[in-house]
Amino acid sequence: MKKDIYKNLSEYDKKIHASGRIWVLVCDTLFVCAPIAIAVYLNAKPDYTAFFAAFGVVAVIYWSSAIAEFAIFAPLLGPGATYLAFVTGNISNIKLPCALNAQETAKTPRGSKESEVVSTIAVAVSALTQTVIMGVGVVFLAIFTKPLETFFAIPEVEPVFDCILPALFGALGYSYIIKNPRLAVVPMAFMLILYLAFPGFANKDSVAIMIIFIGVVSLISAVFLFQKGLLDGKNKKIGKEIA
Amino acid sequence: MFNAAAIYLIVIVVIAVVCAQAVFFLISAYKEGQKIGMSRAVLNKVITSSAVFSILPSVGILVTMFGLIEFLGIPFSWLRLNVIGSLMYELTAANAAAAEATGSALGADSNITGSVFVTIALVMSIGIILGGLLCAFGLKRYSLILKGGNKKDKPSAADAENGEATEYQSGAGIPQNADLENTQSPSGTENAAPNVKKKKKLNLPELGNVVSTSIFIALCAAYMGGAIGQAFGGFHIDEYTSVVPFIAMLAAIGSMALITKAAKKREWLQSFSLSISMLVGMLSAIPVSLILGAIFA
Repeated sequence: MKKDIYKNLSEYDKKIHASGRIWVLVCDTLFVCAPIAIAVYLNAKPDYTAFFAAFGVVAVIYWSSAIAEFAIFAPLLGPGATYLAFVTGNISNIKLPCALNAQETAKTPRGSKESEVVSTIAVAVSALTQTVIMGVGVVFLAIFTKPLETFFAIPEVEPVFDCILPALFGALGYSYIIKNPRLAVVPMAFMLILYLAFPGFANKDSVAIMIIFIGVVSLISAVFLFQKGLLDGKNKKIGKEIA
Repeated sequence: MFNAAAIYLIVIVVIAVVCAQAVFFLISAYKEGQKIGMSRAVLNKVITSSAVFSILPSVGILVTMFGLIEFLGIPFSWLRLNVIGSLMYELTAANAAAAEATGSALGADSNITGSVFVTIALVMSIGIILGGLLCAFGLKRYSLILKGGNKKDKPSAADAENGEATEYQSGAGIPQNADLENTQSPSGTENAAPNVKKKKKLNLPELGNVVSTSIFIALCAAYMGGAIGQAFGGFHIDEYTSVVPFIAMLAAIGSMALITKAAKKREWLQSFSLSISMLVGMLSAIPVSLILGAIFA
């Protein structure tokens, strides 16, 4: 007879896992169905060759990161908040800090049932607050769609759209490098040597592919530094805000 | 085309379902909190503080939507940033898909047709669902491991303290007696007193944090390097516009450094550090292009 390894879970935990699974699967299905529904509405077919090539790049980078985030965030948030956070997104910049803040507010010891309850409430409220604020913002944007399109069409404004990625990753990169200088040395040096020696790779169309190579180099150096104990406590703080 | 009412409708349905999940979990957790003896005052305080805590970062995310709406329209950008995603992921995924579908990365010259839009949208949507799938198929087992295997489910902290009133029960007083940071591992598992003879275990959450951070650093390095290489790798005066993204990146870095410093005294600024820095970097491209144009053109 198959042993029930979950028999000692509380009724609440059983309920959270059962409903959490259903909610996550329903939401993930909807996330995939949304672009399909839009495709039907636009009467447009995806470019499958481009899809698989781009998906490969995204999967290499973000799936390893997703596994690491799952391993890190689940213990800090507890099951209920984790199911919710991986559907509502923005975990490291809103949901996790919000949950930790709520645990601090309620003075609940980490890992206790109370902290799990508090985290779940915090992540749920945070998701709803974010939706309200973004909803209000979107209403304003929708009202001003025409002026916005006119503004975007001004020739002097055009260079702005070539600078979105450098501006975003410059600001984020500064934040990461300042907080994690030892982890940043190898990938930054590798990237500088590569791009300056072979400027063809720095073409903005090639950068998406180069992420994979720099990612592998960064990962190998990070694991090496971690194993050798060369991070000296840096990057080892669980739940450290990294962006 | 990408701001059509039908696309808004599709997006609103998805966001409504996600909100329903949030409400379901909120009610379940609130009831459970009361069942294990937490006071309504504390639970309500958690709700209020979480709502207030989330306002500024949410406004920050709203501002970063400008990075997407020129390419993907308002409703789909809203969907991607309101649920599951983050700007860093969305732009990387959109850029990779645009590069493959059009032969050119996202930029002023992007020609986003219906087919390209759908390709980008699918890459963004499918590329990020692994986290959810890990939760659906692995969280129950992982939680069990974190709770120490097939042991009786851990009692609430209140039980462990033999009924002593705590902050979350009475709404007053702070429990000073539990140094749980030293008695529990960060993962929430029960640790006995440290045993020096025990072989040092590999701390997976620590390693996971290092791995995750290193991947994000690589992502930043790739784009920062791209801007540097574009600007200085074989610079020609007649291609002066290739310097503009590099200067925009420097403006964003400078802005981030200033805001980070200012946020030490005014903590609320931290919520806007990324969105403001990104906007400063992007908008700096306008005067920089005009000045370089006047000098070199």
